[in-house]
Amino acid sequence: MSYQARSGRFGQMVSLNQLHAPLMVISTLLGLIGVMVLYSVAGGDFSPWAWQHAVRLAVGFLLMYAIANLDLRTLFNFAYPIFGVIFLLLVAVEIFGNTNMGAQRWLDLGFVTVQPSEFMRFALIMALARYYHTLHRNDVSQPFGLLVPLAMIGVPSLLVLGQPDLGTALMLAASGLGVVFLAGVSIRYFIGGIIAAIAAVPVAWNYLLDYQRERVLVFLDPERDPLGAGYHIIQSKIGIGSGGLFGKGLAQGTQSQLKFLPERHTDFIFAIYAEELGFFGSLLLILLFALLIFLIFNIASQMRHRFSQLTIAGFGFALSIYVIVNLAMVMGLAPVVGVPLPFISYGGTSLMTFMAGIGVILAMERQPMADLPK
Amino acid sequence: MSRGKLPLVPVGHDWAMVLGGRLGRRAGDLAQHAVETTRSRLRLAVICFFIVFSVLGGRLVQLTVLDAAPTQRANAAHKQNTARPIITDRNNVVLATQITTVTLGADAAEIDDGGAMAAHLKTVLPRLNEARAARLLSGKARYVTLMSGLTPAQKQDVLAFGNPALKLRQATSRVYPAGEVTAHTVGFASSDLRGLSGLELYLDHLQEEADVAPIFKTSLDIRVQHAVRDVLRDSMAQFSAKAGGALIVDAHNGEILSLVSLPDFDANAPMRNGAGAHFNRMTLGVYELGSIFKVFTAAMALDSGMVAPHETFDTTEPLEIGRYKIDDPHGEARLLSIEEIIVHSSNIGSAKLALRVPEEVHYDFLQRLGFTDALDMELPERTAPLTPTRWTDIERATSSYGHGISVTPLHAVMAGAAMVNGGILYQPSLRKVGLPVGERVISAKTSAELRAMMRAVVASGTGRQANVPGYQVLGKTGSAEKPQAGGYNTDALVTSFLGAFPAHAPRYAMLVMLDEPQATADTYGYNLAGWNAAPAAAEIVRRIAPLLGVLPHFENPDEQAALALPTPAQDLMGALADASR
Repeated sequence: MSYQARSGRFGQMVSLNQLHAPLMVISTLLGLIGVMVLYSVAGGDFSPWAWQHAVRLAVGFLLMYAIANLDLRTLFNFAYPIFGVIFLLLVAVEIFGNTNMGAQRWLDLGFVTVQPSEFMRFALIMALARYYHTLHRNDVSQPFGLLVPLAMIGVPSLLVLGQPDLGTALMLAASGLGVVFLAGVSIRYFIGGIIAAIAAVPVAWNYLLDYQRERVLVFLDPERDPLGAGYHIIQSKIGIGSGGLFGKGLAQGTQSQLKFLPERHTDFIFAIYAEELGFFGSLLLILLFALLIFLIFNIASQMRHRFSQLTIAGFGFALSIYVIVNLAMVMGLAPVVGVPLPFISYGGTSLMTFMAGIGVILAMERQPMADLPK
Repeated sequence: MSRGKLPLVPVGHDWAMVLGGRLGRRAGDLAQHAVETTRSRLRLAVICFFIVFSVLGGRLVQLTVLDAAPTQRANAAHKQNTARPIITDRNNVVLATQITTVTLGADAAEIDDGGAMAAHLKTVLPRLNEARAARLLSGKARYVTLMSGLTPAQKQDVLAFGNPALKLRQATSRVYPAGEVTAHTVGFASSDLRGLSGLELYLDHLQEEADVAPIFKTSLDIRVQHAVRDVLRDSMAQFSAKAGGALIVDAHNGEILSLVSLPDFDANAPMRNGAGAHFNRMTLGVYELGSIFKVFTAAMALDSGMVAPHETFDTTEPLEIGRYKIDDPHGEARLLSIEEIIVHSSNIGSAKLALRVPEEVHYDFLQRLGFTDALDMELPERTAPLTPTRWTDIERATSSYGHGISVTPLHAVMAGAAMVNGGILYQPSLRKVGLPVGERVISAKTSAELRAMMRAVVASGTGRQANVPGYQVLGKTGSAEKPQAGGYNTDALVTSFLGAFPAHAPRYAMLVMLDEPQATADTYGYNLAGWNAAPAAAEIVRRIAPLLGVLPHFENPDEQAALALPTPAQDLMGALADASR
């Protein structure tokens, strides 16, 4: 194993073949699968989604490459500032944000509208990694050592929850807690936390909005409201089920072509994919995700710096729960929360942030021995 | 750089030590311990995610391979539902049937020139909205609906185009020829032919258990149903009532000939009216029906043997029970016989009658009349009465004149039929009854006495306006104040007339109800049942008795003779007389 950082000569870009090829290939392949499914969902048409997704994928690829060129020390130094800026953006959304479909999530920057809550995910992971990089090992499980990360997770999550966006807030909190778990905080805290969470369920129930309660009840029994809140789950399961072993073929799925399934180009895209490409196609997709996640964890385990290790592992953790929650939701194993399928679902912010995250991993994987301050 | 693998460590071992031992030596740094901890946590995460991904894979197998069933189940259910029975009335008039319609759709993505295709289709489909079709066909949607209700000839013309992108879809839709008139009994089915209310929903339940004959014959008489609904609508309009309802049942077997609940809705377009129109007030609504309950109280008192037929009751003083006082608003304030209690509708007398029988006997009697449970009948829209939670003297006294106990109008009319038909209670039925099976609730003698009393109500009491010469209506009026929070609303009444005809041998029992009828100039400012429900009942009898083949009968021979048809000779004489004028 060589600990030499792979880099171009001074002032030059790193060439692509110096980067971790499987990671780049799999993530780009997933993005291309997204283009394919979106082409199919539109009835065999690049508009309105597939073309945009392809453009974003290309931009995302360049972004990933650009980030992969960054010096580890730059990433290290910017971990806190980036977190701070995005935190301020979240606050700005709270104050100035656009309201769309009853939720205030978007910030209009004049030339583009962004959803800071999506960016927050990786900013939070890097900031936490930065925090644990400096924190003495013995303090990791100390109450005081826990207070700062819990605040770093809790405050942005509550801001997102207030938008209101339960799905993203839960994902943000889970990603952050993933880093805390990976950092080695005593398991006892997590067991205690889980017990407390279970105990809090009846209390939390009272604070859920009516539509959220209805979603949970409908998840437990979709037939409760087959034309309303249970509609998604039922149609999604019909879509997956009607694909059979080999699927109906691209652009041939009735659930997508006859528009039975809402959100078929975003959160429920996997149902369309499964209907048109069947069991084997779906299994291939799940295996691709599993392989990507495994590769990321594997890279993390080789990192010598705590900052790199926790950032990469945290990213892998976040990616995993996104994939798992989305697939579980679409297959009727979890209540409907608005969580996109990474790389595949239509949505610019989601695709960009995941590609950028891959870029960060590539950069870190490239420079395992760079000097970082304590 | 070689891509290292995670070393395989059996579950339960201390990964941190194993991993740390290898890397810790190399780095020799205290901070490296933390890196090792994270590696052990990573192993744990990998194992967890591996398990979760296996579960997801298993779920995928389950959905795609093991039970690709939701669609198949849905198809099976649909197939079953397309074979719905035809529903008819008792004379085989169709009340619900289905027709096959053809709908034209298209795969717009497969059509190159949408405008040309629309113009082409217009040549054989004059009703086609060409501009809309051209717009839809120029799009990319894989299925667009262009027009429904194609005739067989039009369908043939479209087929002759031979264009596979045009899709002809046959669909079955349920139609209700009588529309609103039978909406509350026949009910309606959804566009995918599932029963959603009334007999349509009942048929779905039946079909789940066994095959149902292709024709489902009901006990309804559509002629009677039309007449009753017309009269009731007129009455509602005349008295500005909020709602109304009427029931006509065969007193000797429980067959329902007519059930009207207003407002109603068109079963062919059920969503056009508000939710209130879908409420079946006759079977699902419960009401304090007031004075018509005095009939049941008198029956109980007489039948129990605790009260002598010619006994009299003092109604001069209000009856005090605890802190409650029962009074007659416009009472006779004298000694009243049982018949006079009914004819003058005395609350005091009725309460005294009820209190003469032991409380168990009283409750048992109400139970036998069916007032404690939901009725057993076809309609899914039925409900149990609201009975008092306690059963002390005050509840017994108020329920003797129909307050503090709420029943559906159907409960009341079935019990009412038993009071006058010789004492047999039948279960209500919307199907023709073969051999009627009833249960005796009072003696034939008591029933005869009640007939006399109820005839007296119409002949000389509060129900005089229900009288129809020749048909000898008998009955009892009820004008109940509507309960509201903390008491009763003295301005809002539910008025009803519980009756039967003809009095000498009642064949049909009836109940007419109006919800909050208003006083008019014609009623001299009264809004009591005698002024609105009773005349409505008279009009109903006038219209339906001839339909049902009930012959008019007069006690006075001259009146009876006047009904006789003229003989041919009389006709001739009359014509000659006219001609000579």
